[in-house]
Amino acid sequence: MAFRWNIFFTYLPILAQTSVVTFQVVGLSVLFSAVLGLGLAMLRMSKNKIISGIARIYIEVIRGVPLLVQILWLFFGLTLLFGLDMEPVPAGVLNMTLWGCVYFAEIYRSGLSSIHRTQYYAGYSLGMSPFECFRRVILPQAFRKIVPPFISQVIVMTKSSSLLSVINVQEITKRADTMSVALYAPFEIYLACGVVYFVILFTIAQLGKLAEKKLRVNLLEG
Amino acid sequence: MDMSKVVLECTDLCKDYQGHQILRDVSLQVHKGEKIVILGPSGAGKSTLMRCLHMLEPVKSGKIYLEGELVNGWEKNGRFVQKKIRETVAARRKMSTVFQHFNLFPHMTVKQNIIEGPVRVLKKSKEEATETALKLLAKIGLENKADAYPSQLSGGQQQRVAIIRSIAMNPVMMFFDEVTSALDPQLVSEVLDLMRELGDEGMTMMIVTHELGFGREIADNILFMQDGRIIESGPPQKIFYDADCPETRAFFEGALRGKIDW
Repeated sequence: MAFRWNIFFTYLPILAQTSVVTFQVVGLSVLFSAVLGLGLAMLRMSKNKIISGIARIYIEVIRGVPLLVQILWLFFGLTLLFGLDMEPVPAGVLNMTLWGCVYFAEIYRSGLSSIHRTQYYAGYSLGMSPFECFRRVILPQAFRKIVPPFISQVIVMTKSSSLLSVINVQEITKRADTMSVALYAPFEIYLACGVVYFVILFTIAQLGKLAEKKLRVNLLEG
Repeated sequence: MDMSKVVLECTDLCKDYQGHQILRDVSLQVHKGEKIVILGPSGAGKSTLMRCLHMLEPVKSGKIYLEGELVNGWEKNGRFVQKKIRETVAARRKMSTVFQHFNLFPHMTVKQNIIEGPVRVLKKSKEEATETALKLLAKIGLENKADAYPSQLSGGQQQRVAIIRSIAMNPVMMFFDEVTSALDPQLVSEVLDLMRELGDEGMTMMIVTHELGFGREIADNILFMQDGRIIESGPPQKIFYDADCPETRAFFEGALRGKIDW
């Protein structure tokens, strides 16, 4: 059976337009989970063993269950337990946020703990207070260190958003599912789907590299 | 050297870490212009002692006096209460430490590294601090590296910038913690030359080093440490060749048997 280029080229732009929904869902999810992740990181690093213990349990549970299972469980759980009938997009953002914040928390935590103790000594040696040392010496370095894994996490979340098709979020993969069935053309449609994702992810990756260059992340090596 | 003026003094410093005693009742005095060299085997507590004297780390017990003033705590109702690290800013900025691994701030240029302390801590103007920084850099022949980042410099250059960063704070005394141990051999002499120059200009210095020849040459007083204690102290000739304690003799006999470039 020959590849039907006409189907590929007709529906490629339509799928590309659907990426607006993907951007909305991923954009909001990244924003909320990046902020929530900061709070979670602080709880995780708390000197209070109960607080840090609870944070740790949450992190381990989220990391130990596949995202697809979490999406399905939360979606049906919200209806069964709370009688909540959420729209797919808000439900999708909620899912991605509760999942993504864990990875951002770990990114922040490892970025901060990767700054060697001797940098603190150097700041204190100049007579800085702990706050000043954190603000002027530690945080700028930790910030630069988290940029590469942060960009990676954004890429992972963009790819993972395709799983939201199971709860009927009308993003790229869901539209491709529908089209491929309607047109009896899964090979052509899913190739178009792949091309759309590739363009988006490649762009994010290149923007990430540009950000790293501007922030001189390479300075911290060696 | 002014033996009448005590710059730094500590009494009965003790420190432990995870059940292991690192410093045991260490007491010493440093006089103005004096060069004290601390020698001893690895794990003796030499670097920890200097970090505690500079209050970069807290001690378990013991008092530290800077220019006659008690700086690491308060006497309250007959009890000694240690200060928290944020409360030791005023004393910490009067002293400076140069570290084994330079510890320049990698996200700042050489010039920014040098002016950071004077501007943020000493509250000098940026212009004044920059002028001083450039003069100091010119003194060590690195004025063309002012806008370079530490990762673009050699180890020897980074360490000399680190020394300049400390000097820019105008300290009353400087600590040097194995400052040549991380350097390639051919870069060691440029750092030792700068330290000799500082010594000749009258800086009060406390030095931990494995460069025994340099230590013997620059020291007014040598402290030999082992297992967290100062075993013996005295002038270099005595400590190196005619020590009283068997531990000291054993260390220097072993060290001098090895290949040492005097």
